[in-house]
Amino acid sequence: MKVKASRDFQFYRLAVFGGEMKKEDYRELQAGKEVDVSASLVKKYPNIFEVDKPPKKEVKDGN
Amino acid sequence: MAINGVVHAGTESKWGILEMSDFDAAVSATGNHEKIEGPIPTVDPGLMRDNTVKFGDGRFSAVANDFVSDKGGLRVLSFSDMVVRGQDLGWLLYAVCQNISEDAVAQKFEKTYTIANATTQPDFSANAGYFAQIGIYDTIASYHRAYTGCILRTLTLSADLAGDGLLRASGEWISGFTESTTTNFNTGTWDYNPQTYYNFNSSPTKKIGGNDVVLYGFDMTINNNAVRSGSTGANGVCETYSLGQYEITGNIKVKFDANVQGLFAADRAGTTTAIQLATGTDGELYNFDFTCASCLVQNVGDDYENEHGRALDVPFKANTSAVFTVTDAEDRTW
Repeated sequence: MKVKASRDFQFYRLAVFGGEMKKEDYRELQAGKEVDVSASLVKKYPNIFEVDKPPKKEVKDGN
Repeated sequence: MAINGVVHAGTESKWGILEMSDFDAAVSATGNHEKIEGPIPTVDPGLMRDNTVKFGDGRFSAVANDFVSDKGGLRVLSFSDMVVRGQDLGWLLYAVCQNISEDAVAQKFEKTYTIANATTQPDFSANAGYFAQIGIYDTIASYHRAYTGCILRTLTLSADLAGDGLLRASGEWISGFTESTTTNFNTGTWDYNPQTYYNFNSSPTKKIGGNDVVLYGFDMTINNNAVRSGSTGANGVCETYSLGQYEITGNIKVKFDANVQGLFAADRAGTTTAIQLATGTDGELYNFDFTCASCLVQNVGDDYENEHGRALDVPFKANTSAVFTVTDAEDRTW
C-alpha cells in the first residue's frame, strides 16, 4: 500500500515502531516521500496515511 | 541486627541512560545503559508534602495527620561536570531540543537540531520525541534507582580552554513517572561510549559577528521550560510534558581586540550579532557546531584580570532561531 506521512512524523524515532517498519521506509517517510508498507501499519499509526486518502486535517503541531 | 562493616566507595556507583520507545513503559532492569562519565546526579523526588499542624492536633506536630505522596510530582535529576563523549552529545541535544533531523550518509549520520519561533513539540503520549530511562546503579544490589520517561529540561554545555577544552555538560532530567528505588541492574551492560571527545582546543570556527575570535571558554544553556502535564492512573503519573518556551543563553569569554570591540555598540543599540562555535571539521566525525545568525549580546563585560590578559565576557541570548549539528557516525534512525 502506497503511503505518506503527516508532518508530525518528524517527531517519531524508528524505535517507536517496534521493528514493524524498515529503516529505508522510515527514512523515505521522514523525507516526505511515498513508500509501500503493509496496511496494518496504516491502521496502527495515524501519522501514516494512504496516498489517495490524506487525513481530513493534517496534524501539524502534535495536537 | 549487627552492622555491616563493609564500606563501599562512592565511585563504585555509576549512572547511565537507556533510550526508551514507549513513553509510559515500566522500568527496564535488564536494558543496556550507556554509562556517563561524571558525578551521580542529585535527585529531588518531587514529593507532595503537608507537615503543617492541623486544627485539632494541638500545639505540636502530629505525623499521623501529615500528607505525603508522589502522585502528580516531578522527579528532577540534576547532573553536572559530565564529560561529553562521542555519542553522548546526540542524545543530550535531542533530549532537550526534542526536534531533530538525521541524514543517512554512512560514517557520518549528521544530526541537526533546530530551535526557532515555529518550532512545535512532540506528542510524548503517542511516543513521539526523545525520552529515556535514567538509571543510578548504587552500591547495594536491588537498591538501584530508576526514572522512566525522562527528558531534559535544561542542558548547559561548556568548555574551558584554560583547562582541558573538553565539552562538558550539566542539566536537569525530569520524570513525571514513579521513582523506583528497588531496581536491580545487575543483568544489563553499563559501558561508556568510546573515549572520543569534543575538544575546543581544536576548534576551527569561533566567530562572533562574523569575526574570528580568540576563544578562552564558553557556556550555553538550552532551556525548554518543560513541565509535566496531566495525571493518570493509580500512581498519578504524567500524561505528557509541555515545552512552553525555548531559551538559549550563554556567555563567551574571548580575548579583547578589534574583532570584538564593536560588541559594546551592538549591546547598547540592541542589535543582533551572529555567533558560531564549532569543534572538529565541518560534517566530519565528532564535529559539533552551534550557529545562531541573530543573537542579542547583552551586558558585555570587561575582564582586566584574566590570566590570559585583557578579556571580554560576551553574554548572549539566541534570537529567532538557532541550530546545533553533531556528526557522531551513529545511525540512530531518529
